[in-house]
Order: sequence, then C-alpha cells, then structure tokens
Amino acid sequence: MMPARRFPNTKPHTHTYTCAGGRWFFISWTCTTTHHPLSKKGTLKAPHRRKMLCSRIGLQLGVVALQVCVIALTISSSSHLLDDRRPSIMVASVASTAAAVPSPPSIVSEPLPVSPPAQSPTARITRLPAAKSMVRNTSLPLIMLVGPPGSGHETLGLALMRLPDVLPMTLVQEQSFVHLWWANGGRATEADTPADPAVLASAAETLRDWARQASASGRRLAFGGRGCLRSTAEEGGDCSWISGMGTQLAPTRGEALLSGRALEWTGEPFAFPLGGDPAAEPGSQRPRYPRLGDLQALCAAAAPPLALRVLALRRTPFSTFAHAAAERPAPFWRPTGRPERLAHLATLVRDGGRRAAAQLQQLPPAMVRIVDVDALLKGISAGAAPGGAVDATVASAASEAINALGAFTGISSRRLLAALREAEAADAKALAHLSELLAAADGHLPSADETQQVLRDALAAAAADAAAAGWSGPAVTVDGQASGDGDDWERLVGPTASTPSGAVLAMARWQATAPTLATTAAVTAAAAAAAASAAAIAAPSANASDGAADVLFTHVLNPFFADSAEHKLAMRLTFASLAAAAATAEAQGVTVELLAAVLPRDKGVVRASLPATEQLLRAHSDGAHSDAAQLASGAALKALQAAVRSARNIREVELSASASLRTALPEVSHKIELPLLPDDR
Amino acid sequence: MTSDCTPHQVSHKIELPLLPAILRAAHAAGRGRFLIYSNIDIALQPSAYLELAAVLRTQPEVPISAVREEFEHASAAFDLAEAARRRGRGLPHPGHDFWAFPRAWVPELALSNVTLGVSLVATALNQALLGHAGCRLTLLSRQLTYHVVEGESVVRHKWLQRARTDPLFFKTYTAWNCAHTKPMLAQLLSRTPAYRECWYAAQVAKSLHAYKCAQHVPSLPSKAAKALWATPSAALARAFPNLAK
Repeated sequence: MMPARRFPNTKPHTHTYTCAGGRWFFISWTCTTTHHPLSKKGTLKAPHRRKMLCSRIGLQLGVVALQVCVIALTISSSSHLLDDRRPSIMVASVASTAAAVPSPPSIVSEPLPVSPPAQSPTARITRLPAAKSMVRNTSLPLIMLVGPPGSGHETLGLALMRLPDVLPMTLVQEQSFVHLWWANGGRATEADTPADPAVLASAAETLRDWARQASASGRRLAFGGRGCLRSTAEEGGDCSWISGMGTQLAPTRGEALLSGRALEWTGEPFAFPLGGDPAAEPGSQRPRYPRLGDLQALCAAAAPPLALRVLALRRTPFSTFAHAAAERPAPFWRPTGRPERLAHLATLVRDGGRRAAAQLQQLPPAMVRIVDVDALLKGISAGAAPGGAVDATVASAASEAINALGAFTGISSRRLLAALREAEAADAKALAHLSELLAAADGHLPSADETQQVLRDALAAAAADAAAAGWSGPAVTVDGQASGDGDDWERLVGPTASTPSGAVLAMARWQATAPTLATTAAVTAAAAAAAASAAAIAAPSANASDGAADVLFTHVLNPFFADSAEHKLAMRLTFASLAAAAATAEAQGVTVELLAAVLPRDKGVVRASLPATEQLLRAHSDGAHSDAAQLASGAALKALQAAVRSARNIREVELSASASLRTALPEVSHKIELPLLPDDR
Repeated sequence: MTSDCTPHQVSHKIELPLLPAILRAAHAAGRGRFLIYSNIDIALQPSAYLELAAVLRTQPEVPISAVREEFEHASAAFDLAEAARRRGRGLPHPGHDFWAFPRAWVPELALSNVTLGVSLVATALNQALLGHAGCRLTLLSRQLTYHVVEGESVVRHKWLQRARTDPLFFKTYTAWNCAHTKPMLAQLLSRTPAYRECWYAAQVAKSLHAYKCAQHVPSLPSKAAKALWATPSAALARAFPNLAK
C-alpha cells in the first residue's frame, strides 16, 4: 500500500514562496504543512506548530537553496517547460524542447487514459487498464538520467531497475563509463575536455555488448540505477550484481530468497549524478561528470545506432537540496564537521546543476525530455491515495506525463506507473528519514527548534561557502529585486519571511526565457563533435597490425591435479574449449599457443587430462556437426582433428617450487576442508 | 558444481601459485605477440580468439578483460555444444578472470607476488595493466568465456563464498595480497604522478580499505610481507593520506 504523502485528518495548507530576479534566477518552493519533507511524521503534534516550523525552515532553506541549486533554474530557463495553462503548484510535466532536428525513432506506447478533471474528479491512475508498448523500428533506446545529486536519480533509477522493459547497467558498464568519465591521463574531466579516444573506443565495445544483450532480450538500455541486490540481513554490506541481473532477467518478484536471506535492490543511484560523490569528505574527492556528448557519439557510432533518450531531472532547488541531504548516510550527520560537509554538498549540487544545464544545451532537443520529478511523484501519490480525496488535476497530469515518458522511452506506461509507485514510496521514506538521521547523530531526539537550528547553521555555512567559492549569483527577494551579495543570510531571510504567500503564488513559474537549448549553432557543433568522436571510435590505431594473421596469442593456464569433481570437470571443459577455439582461430589465420604453467607437484597434469579432453571434443564434434553436407565435405572431421591437435599441443612449463604461497608463507597451515562450498544452500 | 564428498570429510592441502611467476613463465616460454591469462575454470566459446584479435587489431596497446557468463544447473554431461547453445543466456558475472595484453609488458608490470584464488588478485593485475597502459582497459561482456556450476552460482550469493567465510582466506591470504598490492599502487603513483587521476587508483584504495587490509596485515606471520605493507611512500601519502598511515 502506498503511504499517502499527507497527514491524515489534516486539511492541506500550502504556502508557496517565490523569489525571482536577475536573468537566470527564479526560485519556487512549496511548503505544505501536511507533508513537509523535513518533518518526521508524528513528531509534530499541532498543525500550527507544523505550519510554523515548516515555514521557518522552509524559508531559510529555500533562500540558501536559491544559491546552491542553479540546475533546475538554468534548465528551465532554456526550455518551454511550463506554460500558463499549468497550475501554479507544479504538476507533473514532461516537456519536449523545440524540435530542431529530425524526430527520434517512432516509439508507440499505448497511453494511460487521461480523464479531464471536470468530468471525472475522482479519477485514479490506479484503475487504468493495462497498457502495451512496442518499439516499431530497430533503434534501441538508451535512457540516461541527468541532474545533480538529489534531483531524482535515486527515485527514477530505482524505478528503472524494477522495469522488465529495461536492461540496467551492470558493474561492467559502470566501470567502463566511470573509466571514460573519470579524470583520465591527468586531464580534468570536463564537458569541454575531449575523451581519450582509446578509452572512448573501449566504452564503445562495452556499449556494443550491452546493446546486443538488450536487443536479444527486447529491452531498452538504461543508465539510472545499480542493478545490485543486497541481503536484508547484511545492511550496508556488499551487493550482488549477479543476483541483480539474474532477478532482472527473470523477474519473479519474491524469488530472491536464499538460505533464509531475503534480497532487495540496493536502491543506489547510478554513479553519475552530476557532481560526484556527495558522501565524500570535503576536499577528499574531485567531482566528476558524465559527458553527454560522449554518449551521443557512442550511440551514433553503434551499429545499428542507438536512440539516446535523456531524462533531465528537475526539482525545486529546495527539494533538490533536501533530497541530496537525505541520501547521505548516518556518519555524514555526525556533529563534528557537519556544516562543512553540508556546504560541500551544496557546492556539488550547485556545480552539478550548472554543468548539467550546460551539457543539455548541446544536445539535440529531440533527445531530451525534462521531468519534474516531485510533481510526477505527487501526481502518482494523489492517484493512488486509497479512499482519500484525489486531486484529479494532479493525477491526470501525472498520467499524461507517464504516457509521454512511455512514448519517449518505449516503456509500457502501465509498468512505468507501477515502478514509479514503488519508487515514490521509497522517496517519501527517505525524506522522513532525514530527521531521524539528525536525531541519531546528536544522540537524542532533537526538538523542532533544535532541528531547525542545526539546519539553519549548516545551511548558513553552505551559503557562506558558496559565496567564498566565487559564486556570484545575485541575492534576490520575492519581488524580484536584487538585494545583496548572496552571503548575508539574515538579510535574505528577512524580506522573504515577511512576504505573504498569496502574493507570490502566481509567480511560481520556472522562468521561460528565449530558447537556448537548441540553437542551430549548438546543434551543428554537437553534430560535428559527435561525428569526430564517432570517427575516433571507428579509426584503427596507428600501431594496429595489418591483419589477423599477424596476431598470435600465447594463452597460459595454471592446471593442477584436482581432488574435487568440480575442478576435474572444469579443467576438462577448459582444455577442450581452448583447443576447439584455437583450432577455429587457426583456420582463419590467428595462431594460438597454449601453455600450462604448473607447480612441480602438478607436472603431467595436461597429459593425464588428455583422454577426457579428447572425449569431450569428439562428443562436441558429433553433436555440433551432424549436418550431412558438413560431414560429407569432411569439415567436421578436419575441425575435430585440428582441435585434438591443439589439445595435444598444450605445452607444460614448470614453475619453481617457490612460486606458491605455501612456500612463501611457510608459517601458515595451508589446509581447507572440501567441498569448496558449505552445503547449506 | 558440488563436490563428490560430503562436507568436512576431506582436508585438502592448498598450494596456491603466485600470479607473477605464471606470467613470467609464459613470457619466457611463449612466442605470442599477446599474452592471455585466464583462470583454470574459465572455458572459451569457439570464436573467442577471433573476437579478441579483432578488438586488439584496433587497439593493440589497450589491455582487455573479458568477463564471463555463468551457466548454472549444469549436469555432469555438460559439453561444448551445450555451452554454445546457452551462450548469452547465462548469468553475466562482473568479475575479472580473463585478460589479454601484449606479452612484452610482463617484465614491466607493477605486479608483486599476489596469489591466485584469493581476493585482490584481479585488482592487482588490473592495476598493473592500467598503470602500464596509461589508464586504459577494455571490458568485454560479449560472452566469450563461461564458467559452469552444477547448482546455483556461488558468485550469486557472496556470503557463501569461501573467500568470505574461511578466515584462512579472508584474513591471512587476503592480507598477503594486500601487502603486495599497496606497494605497487605506491610505485605507480611515484613513477607516474598522473596515475592519481586514473579512476582505478581510487578503486584500489577503496578495495584495500574494503578488505580490511590494515586490520589483517599485522597478523601475517611474514615480516617481509608486513614490511612491504608498511613501506613509506610520499606519493601514496599525497594521493591517499588514509592509506599511507
């Protein structure tokens, strides 16, 4: 059951404060006393007190967030996200930017019905019929979430992982793209710094494998969440990628149970929210950023090309910062150094937002949709609230947004809705956890005033840090007039706090300035950059050999006399498969020599294994080449003979007795009990 | 694949080989332009060498790590034909157990005496290869290799792995590999300061912490190994102050 994002029996009371000013800055945050992201449910008894606390904290955080969260502002300033038809309280919206390039491949998704609120005031998206989706052409979508920490990676990433339509990244993809987007070769990883062509080519290989697997299983690729499962009995322990992939490929929810241990998704966001690892101690880690241009180039260079689908995540600055803070683990909140850590986090959020906006401007608009994460979640929550009043406008807008998302990504709208419902529940839980973290870190349950003071102090430090870092954004007041340098906390809070909420409600818009997202020049530049990168991927190295015939492999193994059936069969398979592969390669001019480096006690193991190896090769030949034409031509026999010859040519090379750990560590009793695995599975 | 014996019936004397010795032997005895090392329980699909050759032809100076897929619930009659039929349908395993790189690199690799079959050995080899290649490595997951198990994969359930449950492995042996991995990180950082900017330097530092090296190395009954671990390094201290303590 979905938790309602409201206190029961309490009339929602919403204040929306808006600050606008300067060319780029426009801020809006909504404070609803029935659901304040920083309030611990149940700890605030009186509605009035909730209202006061919400207002005070929200006002203070909102102003600082003004300084630290430029991302959404910049993104929105370059899009046509909101128009006047939308309610001032944000509704779920997925906005397309102006189409300046050819449309993406046609993806058809049967939409969720969107009922006009006037006709169906109690419409719920939970009652909508099942939807189907299909991709009509061969372009495989690759979904990428973009935004600073706290902007929604953790929520949408979790949703993507749960979708059977999607093949999430594994450790292989994560490592390859960390490799690509980490600072490399002494260069800072910036959007305007070109990638190492060799690393880009390696990423292309990884992407090719990933796409092939996704295509074979009819799925879309998605950067977004870590497809890793962790035992519920090992909180904080390592997660299992292979379990995650196994569950994802064969999704029978609830099957992830073994030896009495339940497995659950870790829920960790993908490793590339723009801005690096916010959990890092200040100064201990450089921020890192993905280069969307690389991804664009890689998608274009893939065969067949992949359809890049970028979901630009937008939240209000207040919400972004609150979520980024709520994602931090318990040690982050220990009192010592907490203001500095929060200031560091604020910097990451601020800079990540700027960089996300800058990179998004370089992408063709057809590749980008902007997702108002909180509005989307709010709409889903409204549609799912059991028995309660439904804000039909919000729910209907959410359905519309999900349909748009489904059409853009090729994901079934129905399944997308189900996954987002679960993610919404996790999102609400994470925010509620924030005050618990604070309470635990301070050793007692703080009063509302104490909690407020902690946040106030920490965020004041964040504001000072932002100013010290040279951020030159003008401080603004609700009437849009610049009023300070941005580093005077009290001066900023004063006028904002005194402004009646109603007066600014109508101003709660994301600034829609002249479109800068898709100028012709930007698109041209992006296309040129993509073409150059694609050429770098396709171009052979100057040192490349002239042909496969020049490539010669020495393949070395370390076989041993095995005591277990497990090892015996494994070695038999290894020898036979290497011999068969070597014969296949030889037939096409790639020569392979097979070496067995053995400790003295294992001398002769290759010869001893040969009968079993040959038996396996003959069985394979019988099974694989039963076609009459092949047999008649003698191809099967020749292949078998070549493989047997390769097996017989495996050459033993004896290692010295000192080349083992038993010799190197004579003081240790090197004994284990077989079998290798405990028999408690 | 389960054993043919019941638990706790057979005690087996371990003789784990040292990885550098194997690579040196292959370097000395081999003739290939490229050296491939793979674990003994890793089998190949028929096209593996051809596909590797195609990648290396484009980028001969970039080492390759090809990750395997895991075929579970295999019977004793499992053969090459079944492996070919199952290709692409196994569990993708994210670990490293198969590498290809220029054979000429072997004498120059920053690889100390890490032992096979123990945590951190793949990390050590990756570190050596990335360090030599200017922080480049191609990760392939195109199912060139596979591993067969009779029941469920042990890598699916980490808490059942001997490396995580047997103190001999997760303390003593891992401490040995710790002691031989950290000095190589220091060496790479000292020799090439730019290596600090390689993502894998941070990965190794993280792994040394995750495997509780600082906790277990002092218990090693080898003065030489402990001395290796404690070798001071200004480059390491600059890059990873916590690791240099």
